[in-house]
Amino acid sequence: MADGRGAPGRWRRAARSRLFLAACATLAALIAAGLLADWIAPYPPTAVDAINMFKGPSPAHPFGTDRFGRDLLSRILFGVRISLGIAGAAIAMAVGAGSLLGLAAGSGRAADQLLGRVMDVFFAFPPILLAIGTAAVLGAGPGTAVVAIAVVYAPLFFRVVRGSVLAESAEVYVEAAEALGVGRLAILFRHILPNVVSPIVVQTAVCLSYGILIESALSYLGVGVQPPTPSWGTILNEGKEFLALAPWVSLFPGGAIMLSVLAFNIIGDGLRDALDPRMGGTE
Amino acid sequence: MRAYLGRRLAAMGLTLLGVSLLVFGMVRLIPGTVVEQLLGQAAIASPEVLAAFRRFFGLDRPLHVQYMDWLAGVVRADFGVSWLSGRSVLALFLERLPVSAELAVLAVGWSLLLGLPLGTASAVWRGTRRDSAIRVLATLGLSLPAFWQGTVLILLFSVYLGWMPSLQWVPFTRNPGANLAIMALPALTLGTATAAMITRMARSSMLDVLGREYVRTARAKGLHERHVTFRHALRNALIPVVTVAGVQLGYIVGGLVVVEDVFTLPGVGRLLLDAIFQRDYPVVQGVILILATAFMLLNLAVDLLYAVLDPRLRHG
Repeated sequence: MADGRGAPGRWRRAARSRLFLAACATLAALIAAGLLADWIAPYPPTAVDAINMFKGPSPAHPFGTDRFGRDLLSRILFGVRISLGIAGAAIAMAVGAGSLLGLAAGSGRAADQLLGRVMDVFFAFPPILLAIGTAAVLGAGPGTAVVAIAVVYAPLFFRVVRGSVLAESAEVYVEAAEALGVGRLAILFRHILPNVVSPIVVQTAVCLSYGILIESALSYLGVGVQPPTPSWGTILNEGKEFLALAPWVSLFPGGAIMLSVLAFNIIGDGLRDALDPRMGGTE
Repeated sequence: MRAYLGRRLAAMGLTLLGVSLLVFGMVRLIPGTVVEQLLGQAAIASPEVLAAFRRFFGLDRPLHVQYMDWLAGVVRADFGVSWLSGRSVLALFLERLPVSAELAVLAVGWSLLLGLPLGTASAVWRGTRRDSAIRVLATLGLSLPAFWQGTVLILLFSVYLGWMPSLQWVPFTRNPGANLAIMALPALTLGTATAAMITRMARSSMLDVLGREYVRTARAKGLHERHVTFRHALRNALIPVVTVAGVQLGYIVGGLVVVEDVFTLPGVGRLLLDAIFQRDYPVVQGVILILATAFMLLNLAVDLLYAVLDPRLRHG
């Protein structure tokens, strides 16, 4: 855990950083827009309007329309739910599975060896390749994207938690608990787990940004969310054939992806500086 | 060093076996086979024809027999034959390799060219506005989705500026100018995240070195700041940066799939995606296995390089 004396100071510094605050505000606005999409979106996301195909940005359609005359702003607003929802669910799954396996590896040498070898297999793949492979096996869809991203990042959380558990196991408070006759499982969950939360939190913020990128890439390549569901990657995919005719179909969803990834990256950096300076801050 | 290498190679062999098992298992789980793809409605109409085709492709044998057969072939560099084209998977891979290899090398090359000076400058200018600007730029670079950046670049150069390189890929040896014109935008797209990563790494590594005792000594001796930065600090700061570039080359292997799709380049990534959509098992299996092996070998090479540069690691 980050040392007690320095941590509040680092938190104050993170909270004072305008960039960090701007990133938090952007993310909060994006999430609120996604949650309130039913009320704030000017049109239903899949409403076809044959008369208004490929209309450029205008007061009636601030982000323009696509080849079916669907309002892009509405699709992007509903897309927040899909893209951030998939990334969030996938990383939550990865955190849960990776942390449990990491704790299990810390429970004994045999489990550590076995799980370590299995995880090495997953680390042997470039992340996007593993995600594409998993998506190809499971068939396209939002659930597939969740599992594909979770499969990529669970090994990472495994390593983070396993490393932290091994480091914490050598601490005096663990030895004291063992001497008092506390069981290994109780030590892992009650004593060690609360002390490895910081690196998990930092890694979660960073992985959420990668999760959004991978979800968009899978949908863009046609192995993730399928049309007409408005994921940001799917909207981009639908726009690529009409780049010269209607560039706004590709530009706006890409901007939304970049904005959310940027926000998570900045928040990840801020959290790293505040919670876990050992992981290499940006200062 | 030899013992360290031996340990790493043994571990890699074991991992590769696991990788082959995973790849084989995953590909066998893909819904639908090439048989259904080829036969279409006939597969449903005639179970006899379906069974005959399954026998022909060897899909009627137990899974472990299929796996052992495939593995025995892989050991002899025989990755099987494409079910759709009838050509050897290795030949298909090698045919597409020059495009992907050139793209990867160009991407890493330009990312080093950009990332090293930017990272070094950012460290030297620590705490100034220029430093902040570079750091924001690096974070922005890490946040750009490659497929969107590629789309924007195509839009800007091809659609608005009218700069249209040939859509037909030309080998560098045949026409270097045309080749580089085709590869410039894809390499720029593929290397952006790596350039951002190298900028960050170079900055942090330079900051670390600039605070060391020997750099302070060099300054105390009255050496010019530029001399201290470039002759003393940069040389030592480069070690972790080179290893990051090596690791990034591995990640670029994955990025190829996306960038080749955006720019419709006939590389290995495009071969893999087409094979997935067409359910061409042998090609999917072979290409993923080769790419995963390349990724592992790159990581191993980086670790070895690091061990050579830092003896504490190989004795640890």
